[in-house]
Amino acid sequence: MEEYMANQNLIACKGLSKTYGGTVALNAIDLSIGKGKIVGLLGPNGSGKTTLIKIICGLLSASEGEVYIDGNEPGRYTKSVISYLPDRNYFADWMKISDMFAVFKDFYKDFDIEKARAMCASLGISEKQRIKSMSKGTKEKAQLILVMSRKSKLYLLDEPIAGVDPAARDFILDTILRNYNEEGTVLISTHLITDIERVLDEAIFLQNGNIVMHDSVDNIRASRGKGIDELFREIFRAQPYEGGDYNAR
Amino acid sequence: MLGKLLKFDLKSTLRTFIPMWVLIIILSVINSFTINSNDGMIDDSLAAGLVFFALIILIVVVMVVAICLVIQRFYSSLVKDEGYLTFTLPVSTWQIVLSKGISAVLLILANAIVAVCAALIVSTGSGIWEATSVVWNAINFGDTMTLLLYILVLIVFIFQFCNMVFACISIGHMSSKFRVLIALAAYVIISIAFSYLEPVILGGVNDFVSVSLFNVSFSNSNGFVVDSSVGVSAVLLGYYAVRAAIFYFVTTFLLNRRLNLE
Repeated sequence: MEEYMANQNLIACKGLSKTYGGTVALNAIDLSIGKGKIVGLLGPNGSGKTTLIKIICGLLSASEGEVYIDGNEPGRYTKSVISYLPDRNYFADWMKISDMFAVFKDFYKDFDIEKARAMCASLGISEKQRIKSMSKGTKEKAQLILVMSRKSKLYLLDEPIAGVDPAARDFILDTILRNYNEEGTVLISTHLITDIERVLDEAIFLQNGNIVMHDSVDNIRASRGKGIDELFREIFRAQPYEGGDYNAR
Repeated sequence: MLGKLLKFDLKSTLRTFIPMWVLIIILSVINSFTINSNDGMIDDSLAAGLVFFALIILIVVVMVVAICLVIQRFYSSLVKDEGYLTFTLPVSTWQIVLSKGISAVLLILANAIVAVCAALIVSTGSGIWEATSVVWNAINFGDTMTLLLYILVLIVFIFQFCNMVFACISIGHMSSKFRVLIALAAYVIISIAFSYLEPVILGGVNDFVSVSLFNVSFSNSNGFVVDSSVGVSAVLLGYYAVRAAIFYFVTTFLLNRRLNLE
């Protein structure tokens, strides 16, 4: 049965836990995500989103539990089918975009260099420009171009729209929507719900390392009678100091 | 995949070194002219001395830079932000660590070769070349196989040294604070521990190898007496290989199981 679960779902987690010292980052979560979906991994800062993504892409080992991606434990195969956008810039300063293209072309069979070049051209980013001379926003766009130019089974996008202006957010979301492999699944982690609600098929709410809800966006709207953003605010509302009523103010 | 990792690694280091190597060769060519133009002028000998001095400094600097760069590349491309790319490439951790070790050895050897070339260029036609061959013959490295053994010992020594540094960085990385300090402490502790162990291990093994294997078996079967330095080199080769294996295993294990990028 477990094997069946692992094969049917693109991502299958069972009793997955991660502790850092004495701090629990993920608390025995069970999760399964199918193929061909856009899934929002939603939660406030420190809820365990990045930890979960890092475990799935093989950057962290779980303290306990199991995780399968396309039926395999994290390893060389899973890394070859996952396209991962971290929440930071992983370029070496001396590189040019063309150097990164060469690296991706060498290591990933599913990297479409022509697509990457076309995306660079449409954004006016020169392939010969050094990473060092790029602005923060341009670096983020360049990294997104690399990640979305792969035809992957799973795209793991960690906070792709944090720290950029609203116009850039729209660009990033459009890029994701237009370029992802439609048979693949996109898992986007964010706490900026309003901007991504329109693109999601499913939403996972994480709080203090626990999954408090995982359902399709349509089901959530139908059963709760409210949108994801509204529900997010309801679930993650901060408790005001000394019991004061935040809403009454 | 190992080849691709090596290509990527060498590309990132060679861009720093190729200009330095070119500069060293140019300085040696200039130096060979200035040393050989023997017209007795003080200015000339002063200029020759300065160029020669600059050449020596440059070779030393390049060697130090090479070692620093090996350490810096490992640190930044594995445990800093670049690690987010390195560890999500579809390769195994053992391949990543091995590629770092091999590229470090290649880089340091390439520097040594450039230094030797520079020395040869400087000495061309000046009589130093003849002097060198006299010294070479006096040292008497023996046959080609013996010389190759020495070179192999040197290569394995460099490889184990780099892997020791990698292991220390990985140990430092296990902590969430004071990572560099812990890495340095690990280096000092490991060095001290091995300096205590070495006389015990090498002494025992050396007696065994030189007496039971080389001096007896080899000389009987092949009909010649093996130089005792060959025995010592063979022991060193084995010892460095074991050290390299230990440090390589520690690094791979820690990065595989305990990786925790910032």
